[in-house]
Amino acid sequence: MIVAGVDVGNATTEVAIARLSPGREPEFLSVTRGPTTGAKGSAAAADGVLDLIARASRRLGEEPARILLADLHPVETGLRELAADEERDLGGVAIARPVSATPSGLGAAAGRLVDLDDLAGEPAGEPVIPIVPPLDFDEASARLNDARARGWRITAIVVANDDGVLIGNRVDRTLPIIDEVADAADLPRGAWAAIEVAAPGGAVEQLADPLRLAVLLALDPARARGARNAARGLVGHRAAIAVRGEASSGDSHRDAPPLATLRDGSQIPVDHAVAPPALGAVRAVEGVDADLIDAFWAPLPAPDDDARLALALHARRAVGLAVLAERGDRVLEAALAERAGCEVVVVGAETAAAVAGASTTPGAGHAPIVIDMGGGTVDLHVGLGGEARAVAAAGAGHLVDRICGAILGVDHLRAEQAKRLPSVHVETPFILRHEDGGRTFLERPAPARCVAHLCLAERRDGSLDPLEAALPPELWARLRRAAKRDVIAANLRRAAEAVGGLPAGELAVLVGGCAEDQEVVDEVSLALADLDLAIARGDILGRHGPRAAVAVGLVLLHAEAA
Amino acid sequence: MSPPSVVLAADDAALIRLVRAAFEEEAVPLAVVGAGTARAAAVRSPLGIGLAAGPTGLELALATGPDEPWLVDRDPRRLGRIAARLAARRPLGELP
Repeated sequence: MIVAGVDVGNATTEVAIARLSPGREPEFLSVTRGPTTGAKGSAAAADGVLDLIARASRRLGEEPARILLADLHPVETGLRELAADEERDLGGVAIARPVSATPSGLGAAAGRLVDLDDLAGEPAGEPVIPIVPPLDFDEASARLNDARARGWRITAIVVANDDGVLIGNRVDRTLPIIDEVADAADLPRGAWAAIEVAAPGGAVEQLADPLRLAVLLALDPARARGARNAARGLVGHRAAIAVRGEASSGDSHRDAPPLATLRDGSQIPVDHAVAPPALGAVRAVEGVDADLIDAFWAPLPAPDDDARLALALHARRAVGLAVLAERGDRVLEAALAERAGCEVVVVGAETAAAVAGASTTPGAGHAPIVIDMGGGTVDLHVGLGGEARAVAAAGAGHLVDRICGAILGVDHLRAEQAKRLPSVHVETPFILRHEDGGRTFLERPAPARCVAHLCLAERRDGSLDPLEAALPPELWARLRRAAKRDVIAANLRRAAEAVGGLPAGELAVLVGGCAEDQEVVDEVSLALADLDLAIARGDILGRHGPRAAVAVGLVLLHAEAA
Repeated sequence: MSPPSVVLAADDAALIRLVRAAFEEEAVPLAVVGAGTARAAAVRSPLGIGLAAGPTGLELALATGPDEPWLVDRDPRRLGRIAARLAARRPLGELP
């Protein structure tokens, strides 16, 4: 009889097809994989399963008479940025934002916003900041010089075009001038404003300091502390503008994080500053409509050697959350039985199947410790001395994707690539700087869109995929590794605690998609270093690497039971 | 000693003004020589980056690699900015 062991993961579906004959070992005919269609355990996931089985069946000329499944529990992962949902009260500052790639001048100055045309009249008796509309730089410079000669006190300039340096060179190189202000026409004329330009490579200091900002904008002392949100938004930028607005308290409406309810009835916030509890301790999370087996969360990692970036990441109040839910229905099983026209059997737990599959790794024997790191969970199985313990911890590869995506500002598909591909900085069309600081040279020039950008480097063909995040590859690599450590290694430690610890000196076999990632293997090895374990990557059936352990294991368990 | 400049090979005063403006804005040195090819200008440039008018617009060539221009743009100010940022190793911004 032909059977198909099917592992529907959160990211990937794997199918192992084998021939079962009485009294003989299963003969594995094919192992294939494809993306999971729909949520794990849903009827939509049947599409991907049936497609993989159909393709394998065509190649083999035989169809399976039985589909073997594990008992499935879906995992949902998401990322929420509380700061993105907040209403920020800028505390008497109407506008506060960074501007300009190439500003001119140096320092901070304040004045009243006026149109360039206003300078044709009599000088105002106070400092002004003219707004230069899209206009030839020579003409704009001539009009500004004429106004200064007639007594206008110009303290700074706002330029709509990318002409800040050109105008600065023709008017006054010391004046702070910001340019590329696309919405210059919308700035409120007559409002009091402050502009600051830092030296190249530097960042604004006065506008990023709430007290100095308040003084520049002539806010009274009582309102100075209210300017903190405005000042905070300008930290780390070379040039910035702030415009005084109506009086307000500066109180932010801070969204409360969702609450996790523990099994003892107590509640804790799912927050970037609160560590997730022990495995299995959470039974519900606000906003998640399911009874939970486990919940886990992790914040965006912060670099310890870059305070500016750490502050910016912290201010987002972002947290990646994974929840492992109970599942009472059997919709996938029913959908497969109806559409495949064959028997569908739930063989057992995923962890037991993973152990059986992992044990086909050459040299492993019966693997005593199996760590299955997939898209949704880190599953740990410990079987020693006739006693077996198994747990599944919510949060694995998908949660790493979410965190990587949030750092880079990309969707989860590109984040998944960013998680596993090396990155480079394209220094010139011919020179790449790698994550270890080394450089290589290209035979043909890199595309213009990649130059001076962080890019993902495809291993197969060396093609480059530029990212918008202004991170050097050395720093991005550290953040990426930290995400893997904070999710997968941290979750493995939770799992190890839940099974009462791991025996030192034993063999641990790593399987699942994440086990293909050497960085994950390194982080897991580091997390378990004290135990002196022999940590090895699985090689299912001696030819499939760490993938398909569950699919192959289901076949083996079924054959054993038969 | 040659200053570290990008070389523009052109005689057209209007085009030279626009490219010069882009380089001044980016604070990157530009040397202007008589009309020629962008590739020849790139070879003369200590930075290996040359600009010259071509049949379909301003061309940016590199001193190494293929003979054909790396970029061509009908907007001289924009390609000037790109060449200057390339020399300064800054993100190039909007591309043609």
